[in-house]
Amino acid sequence: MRHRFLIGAGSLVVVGVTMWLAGAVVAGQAPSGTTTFAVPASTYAPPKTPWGDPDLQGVWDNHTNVPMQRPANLAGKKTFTDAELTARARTSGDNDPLCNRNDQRCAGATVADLDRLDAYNGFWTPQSFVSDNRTALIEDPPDGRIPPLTPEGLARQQAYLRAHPATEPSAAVIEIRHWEDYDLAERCIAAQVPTTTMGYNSAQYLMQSPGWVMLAHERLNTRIIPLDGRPHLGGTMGGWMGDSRGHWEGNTLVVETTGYTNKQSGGSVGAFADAGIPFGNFRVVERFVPVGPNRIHYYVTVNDPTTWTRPWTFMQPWEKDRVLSYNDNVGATKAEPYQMYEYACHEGNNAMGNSLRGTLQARQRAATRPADAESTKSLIGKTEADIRAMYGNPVTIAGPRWQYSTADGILQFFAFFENGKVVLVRPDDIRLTEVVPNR
Amino acid sequence: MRTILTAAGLGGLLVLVGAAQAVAHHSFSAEFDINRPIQLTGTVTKVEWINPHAWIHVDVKKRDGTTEEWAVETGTPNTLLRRGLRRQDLPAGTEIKVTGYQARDGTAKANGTNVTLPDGRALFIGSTGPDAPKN
Amino acid sequence: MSLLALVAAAGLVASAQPRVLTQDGRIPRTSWDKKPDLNGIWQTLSTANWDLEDHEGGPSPVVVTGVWGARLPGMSVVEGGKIPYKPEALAKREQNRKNALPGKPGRDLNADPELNCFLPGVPRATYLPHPFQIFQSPNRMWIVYQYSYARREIFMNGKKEAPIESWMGWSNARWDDDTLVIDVTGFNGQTWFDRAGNFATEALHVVERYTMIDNDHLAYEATIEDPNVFTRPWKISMPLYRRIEKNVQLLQFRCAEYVEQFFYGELVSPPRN
Repeated sequence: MRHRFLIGAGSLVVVGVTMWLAGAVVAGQAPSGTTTFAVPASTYAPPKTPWGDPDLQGVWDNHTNVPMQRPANLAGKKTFTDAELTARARTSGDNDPLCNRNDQRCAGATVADLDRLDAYNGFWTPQSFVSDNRTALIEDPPDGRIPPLTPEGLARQQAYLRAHPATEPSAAVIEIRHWEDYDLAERCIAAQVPTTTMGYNSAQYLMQSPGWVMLAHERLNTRIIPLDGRPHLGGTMGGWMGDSRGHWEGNTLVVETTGYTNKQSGGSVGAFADAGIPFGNFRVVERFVPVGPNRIHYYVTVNDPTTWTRPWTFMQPWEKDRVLSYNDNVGATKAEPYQMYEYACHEGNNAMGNSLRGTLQARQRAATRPADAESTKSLIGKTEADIRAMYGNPVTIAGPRWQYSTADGILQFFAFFENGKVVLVRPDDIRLTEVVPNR
Repeated sequence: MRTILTAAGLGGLLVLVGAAQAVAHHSFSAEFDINRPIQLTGTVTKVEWINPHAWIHVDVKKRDGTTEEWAVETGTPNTLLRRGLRRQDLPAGTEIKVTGYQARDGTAKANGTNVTLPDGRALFIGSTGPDAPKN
Repeated sequence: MSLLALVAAAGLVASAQPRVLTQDGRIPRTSWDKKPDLNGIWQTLSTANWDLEDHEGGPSPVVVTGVWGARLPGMSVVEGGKIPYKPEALAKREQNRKNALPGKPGRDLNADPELNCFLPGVPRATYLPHPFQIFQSPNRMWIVYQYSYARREIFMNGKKEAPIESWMGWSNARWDDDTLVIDVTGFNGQTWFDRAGNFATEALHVVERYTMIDNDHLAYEATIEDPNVFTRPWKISMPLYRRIEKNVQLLQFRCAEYVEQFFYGELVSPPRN
């Protein structure tokens, strides 16, 4: 039975009961390197490939909005009830802006809501999730939190963050001055392995052939895993994605990955480890546990005694054949398996050059901006009447934001009001005379 | 879900996993300037259907009557395709209106926060409108 | 004792995957459809990536790289020797040749895409100086190339028209007796065939043929057609060799990283403090 949350138009559909999520931990083989955690066994037996391996082939998606760590206010609570999930779905996971800038929903928007550079609205993020009633992806430690860093790990991370200060993604200005200020995935090099969900285009095609498993991630990574027991490469030959070796334990695919580069990935989209944590000493054990024909429970155990005080394990459910109620594939006229398309990241990466040039430009512009008294910045503190007197009625109003045009008709001018006074203007560095009065 | 770094919190950072957070990556604010809100009206000349961002090229009429070519960045075409939009659906000559923010390098590039056709049809808008996909 | 057995005895061949040899004992076949089993890691020995046509050796275009960057000699892999260009398209090829290596910092979209670590398209991906791995299972096939993140999903008995344009094209495959035929369309017109500026447009249509000669050799052919550029279809061919070293595998060549200094070195701002 397919279990899926479809979140669209603010409503939620839950189909069926998820038995396996409530299952107790059954004593199974403990992944080497953990303390007491044992991956729950599954009774499901998948079909076999012609050469006798369990057949897990197909396109899988791990799209979820379950956070990695259990939030503090949910300490001790491992799962949500169905009713709680329904309520949560209505308020979270919806990436749409509060208002479309010019409609009545803006009336209730705050200045911060409107003065925000949205990456993408909900259009770009698929509004469906693999069903999961847990409050965190982490299964071990039982408190659902990443274990503390060792003193060495903490020092290393702090040093990295001093050199690359992180900012809130929605900060007004993020200065990229060097390509390494971007993370690995945004540099179009690779994604961290293993990869968690990347917001969109997160599917993985699991392909098998005698003696091999290949994992083609929709974006960036292609992992090739030999199953013949050959030794690891050694050193850092595994590069960004590490060097993986796999084998079957019953119907579970077990993959051990070492040999990662020690260079920084900078956190990154789809990351499971934050910025400031190099992978050079990692030993990662993944367990792909099939629990149904369209579902795998994917466990990842991360070992690095130089970084964390103990190993830890997270689990993400994967689901196959994620077909939504509208056409998911180009030209599809009926429900079909998800089709991955080419993701030529580096080829189209204009963002890198634009951002670097942007920093060069912004620094130059700061040097030549008009004096505050002559610039729009001086409008802060003015009243609505003051602004009307200078520029007439605004061209449009969106909640607290008044909009005027400028000389070229392209650049717009925004004045944001709170309690009848201007609290913010965009742009704040053009001349007062560049704003065109609306008479 | 936001990642706020404090000295005390460094040991147990919230990892960016949720859909909203994973998408709000650095590059957007690094590439586009919140201090340069723009509005463009013009005709499509070409669409570059590339990852990780598709680009729509628009001839824009400025207030002084001259025309300027702008490039509007959108999200990944893979998502567009799944919404049934192909490159051919935005042929040269299509009139569009774009609101967004100009590139920080000051060139004629912008992100497309809202992109609409003159008949009011919104492109690339999320699923909260009346034309949202039904469950 | 056969050469293969000698080699196996010497421990040079990776521990054998289950293989079913045919009566003629020459090529392995899958257990599920008895078609040639193309699973494995393959690589060309040809220098077609420098130039599909006859090319002499020569000095490096970047003098200080000495012999590291020198051009390798090679014989044409094109049937008939020369690529049949339309006259106006030949001028573009010559233009490409001049632009292939701009020789100054910064990303230049007129340069050879390989120089920029861009995806190579088909058939160039086959004869890059990198191995690639074929994965074959019932009704599924992928080809993964060591170079960058190049890979292709091969649709066995695929009939769908290419829904999008891409660097690596859209691959529909079928068996023609014991030859795997892959029909590739949906290219984006940005790929070159080699470093010598040979190119095509979005109208490119490639038909590849992979025929197993024996366990360790494939005969590879590609018929290339683009009415915007060529006066007629033309064909290249070369053998592909199985990489037989023990424990051989594709290694990482994520070259986007290797061109960052090249593309962005001049755009870096100094640190604030």
